[in-house]
Amino acid sequence: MRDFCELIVSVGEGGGIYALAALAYLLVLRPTGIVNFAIGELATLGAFVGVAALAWAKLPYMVGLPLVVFTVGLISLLTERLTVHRLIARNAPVLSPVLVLLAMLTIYRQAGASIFGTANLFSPPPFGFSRIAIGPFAGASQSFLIIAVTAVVFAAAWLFFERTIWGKAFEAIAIDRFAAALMGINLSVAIMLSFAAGGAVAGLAGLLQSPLTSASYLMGFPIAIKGFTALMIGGVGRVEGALVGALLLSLTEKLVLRYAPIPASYALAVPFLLLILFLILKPRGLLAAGEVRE
Amino acid sequence: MRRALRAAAPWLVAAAALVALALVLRGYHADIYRKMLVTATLALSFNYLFGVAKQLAFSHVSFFGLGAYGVTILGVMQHWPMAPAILATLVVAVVLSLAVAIPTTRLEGFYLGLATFAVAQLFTIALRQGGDFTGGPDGLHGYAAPTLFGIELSGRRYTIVIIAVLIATFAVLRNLELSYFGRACRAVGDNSRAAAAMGIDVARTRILVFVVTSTLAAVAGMVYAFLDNYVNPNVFDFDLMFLIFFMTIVGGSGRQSGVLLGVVVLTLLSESLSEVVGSHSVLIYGVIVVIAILFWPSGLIGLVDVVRARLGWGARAP
Amino acid sequence: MNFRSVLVNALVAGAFGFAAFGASAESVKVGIITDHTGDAADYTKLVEKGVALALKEVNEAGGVLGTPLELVWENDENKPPLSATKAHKLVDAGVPLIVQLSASPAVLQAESVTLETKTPHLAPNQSGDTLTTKLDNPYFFQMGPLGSIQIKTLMAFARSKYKRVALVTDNSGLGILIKDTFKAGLQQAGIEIVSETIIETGSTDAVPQLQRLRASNPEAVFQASVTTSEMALFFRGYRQLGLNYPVLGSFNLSLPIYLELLPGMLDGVYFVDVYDPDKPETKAFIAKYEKEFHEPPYSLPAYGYDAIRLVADVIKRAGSTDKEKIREAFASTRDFHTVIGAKGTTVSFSAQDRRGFPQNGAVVRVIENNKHGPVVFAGF
Repeated sequence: MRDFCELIVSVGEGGGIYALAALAYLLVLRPTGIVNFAIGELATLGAFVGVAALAWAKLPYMVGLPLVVFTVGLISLLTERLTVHRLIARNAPVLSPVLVLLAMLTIYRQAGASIFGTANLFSPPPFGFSRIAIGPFAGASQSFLIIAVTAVVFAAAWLFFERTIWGKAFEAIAIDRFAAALMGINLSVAIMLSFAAGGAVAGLAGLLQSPLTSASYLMGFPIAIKGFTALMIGGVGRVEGALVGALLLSLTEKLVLRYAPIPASYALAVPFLLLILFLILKPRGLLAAGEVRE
Repeated sequence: MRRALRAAAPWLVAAAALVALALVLRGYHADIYRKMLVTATLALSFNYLFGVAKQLAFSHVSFFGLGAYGVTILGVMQHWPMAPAILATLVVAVVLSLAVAIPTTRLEGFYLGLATFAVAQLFTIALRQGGDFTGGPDGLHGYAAPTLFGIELSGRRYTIVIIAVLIATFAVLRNLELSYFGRACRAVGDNSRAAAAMGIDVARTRILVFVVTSTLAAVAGMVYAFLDNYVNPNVFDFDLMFLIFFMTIVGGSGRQSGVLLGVVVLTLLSESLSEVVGSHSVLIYGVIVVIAILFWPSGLIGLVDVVRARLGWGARAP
Repeated sequence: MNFRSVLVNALVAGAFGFAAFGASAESVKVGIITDHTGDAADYTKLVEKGVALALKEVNEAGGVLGTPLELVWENDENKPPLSATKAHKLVDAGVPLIVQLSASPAVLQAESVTLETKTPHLAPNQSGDTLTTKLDNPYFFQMGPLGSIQIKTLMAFARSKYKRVALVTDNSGLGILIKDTFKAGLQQAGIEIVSETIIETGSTDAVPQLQRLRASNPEAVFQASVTTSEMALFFRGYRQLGLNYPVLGSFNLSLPIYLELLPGMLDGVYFVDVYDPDKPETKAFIAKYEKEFHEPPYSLPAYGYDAIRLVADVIKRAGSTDKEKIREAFASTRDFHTVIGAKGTTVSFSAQDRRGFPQNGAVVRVIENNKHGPVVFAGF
């Protein structure tokens, strides 16, 4: 039982990172229909900026975290202004923004590697490597931090979409872009903000994960894959979908790793099989969504 | 008779030029040339799948690997004669591509990309875990060059084989493009709903084009296997996929001449860049692709067309 | 130009006041294929420091055959097809010998070229067991410490102590390979493997795997991982969960980066190494290296250092830059004193066995006070 509760904390931690990544996709996908696969690399940049701010400049965490979130959000925003905006403005084919973002993925990664090098870098966890126990649930302090931050971010995201005018505007754009524009919603600003928000959340995910694994220029790809899989499972329509999908993915993964009697090497194929399965059978995910365009 | 000769002329000239280059180059330059030819063969089939049929398939390089491993495992490790080994590999490629294409027909755009990416990852895992059958993480090595009618096909003679396969792939795709099926492919790629409205069986078209191009990729793979007589999983990875992808976009997706231009330019660029820039070459490729998508959506071949129009040269069939 | 090539060139230029002129016409050029930009770059750049030091030393002592020794560098990005292409390039440039620092698959593909062109080829740091056997290439010599030798030493150390062990690795090619080698060695030693777990690349934590490990109640844990992030995950989780079974690692744990990333978490961990700071040749190397680079060396620079010294020795014994004579000189290398290897061991090659690292050359060391500690076991 103690083992299982400990595992639950681990599921929460993994699920938290995947959920933030899934949210990063969602924030951009909903209003624009664009899948920004580069969020994995944005997470890496978040981790690197974190290393620079916290390990090198020795800034306090309360300063470092907002700095990371702001910086990566800004990078994402600039990317949108310089590339995606032009393509949308001239009505380029649907696949073009996706392709340009894939190219940006390579650029982010190489730029990160050039500036920060290819060796792993130590990213200091704000509460050290200590272990915390809340009742029967025990785990690393960083794991609890991740769970807490994810809960806060998702609560904020839910409130935004359900309770604020801007949130409703985003939903409107997702449902019918032209009607939304006719209603006076500034599409260009909304899209710009969605990219900024997506980037910020991705950067946060990278910052939160890096103390556990250390910051590395290759860490982005798995985050991007896992985040997308989580989104597919939970449903591309709603914020709750990102969270549910992420937790389910994390749960399945960890349960298999812990208890399944299959050889370790085959366990690696599980996330990919899940991804393929959901893509084929349930591309809308488990939770019903509002209208989604592809 | 004259008409047939006139039609065949550009082909013969191209073939002659390629062969002449093969005979002239030696050592290092010959090696780059051969690898460029194989990459071009692979890029041509990818161009048709992605540039024309608009299927973002990241599994392409895996089929390339399948061809290479297939012919090596069967032809060398299991000691089958070459012809049945090649045939069996083609059959496996067709069957596997059907297995991938049929369930994913409904997926479009990025979602198809992700499904095929997952397939590619599974393929790599299978190769690495294959133990002695696939040579595991270190691959299969040390096999001899194939022989045809008693002549060993290595060195320059093998380059001729590569050229033959390249031209054959080009010809097959060309004929495909000019056929009714080719027009259907293009229609489905441009707008699948409109194509369906016109009576085209979208699912069947998409499946067929995936199978044909993936099998052509496998053919390119079979040729690759004997370049250095070594296959290993590291070659058929995402880096190569991105490279092919970049070549297609930068060269001009949808047009065969564009893709070939992209392959040549990127190969020569990486040769010269590696001396000067080294570590940042991938960064530069990324920037070039972004510039290409933003400012030259028709690729380098589009720019070539513009230059030609300015110079008043006649338009050539793409 | 990146920092590394500047460093190496500066050292060479420093050794030779007149490096600028006369070097091309009057020098022995040896090719060197390395990774400057790919995924092995972090590893090779450390080996290259030893290369630079040895090159300087050789040239200060008069070079080879009366002329300076010059290296012709090629970057293969650790990509096997590119490796073969660069080998062609070097052969065309006329080098009589190629040293290669990139990983085993790249070496294997380049071997096709060195066999075809009959060019002597040296792999001084690769541990792949099949490099000399997958392809029968009489021109290829491997001085790197074979994985099998390292495992044998580790097993000999563990054999008397443990009967039930857990096995952990990551899912990289090399990680799986080392795991399989460990497994074979353990089974041969009659040691039971009670659990086998893999920490996948990109994992966010290792708790499920560690729980599985804990549930299997081993006496010790064998760590076969090679990727830094996953190794870090393992140790952080290990300490966080309060596990304290002895941990035995592969040669991967001999890399100093782990001491930086996991401060204080590695004390008591055993690892295989090929470097004994107490060996006379090593002591001399440490003195020279610290003088040059102001930091202590370890196995990686030692590989590079030994490689260039061996190259110089081989060319001297060959008496010319003829490829056949160089090959023969390699094959007749006997008791060459190297920095790598346990105390009292040396490197020898023969035409039948082109693997130079001595069978009893590996050592087991322990990490103490967040530093690589003394040798606790050598040979087998």
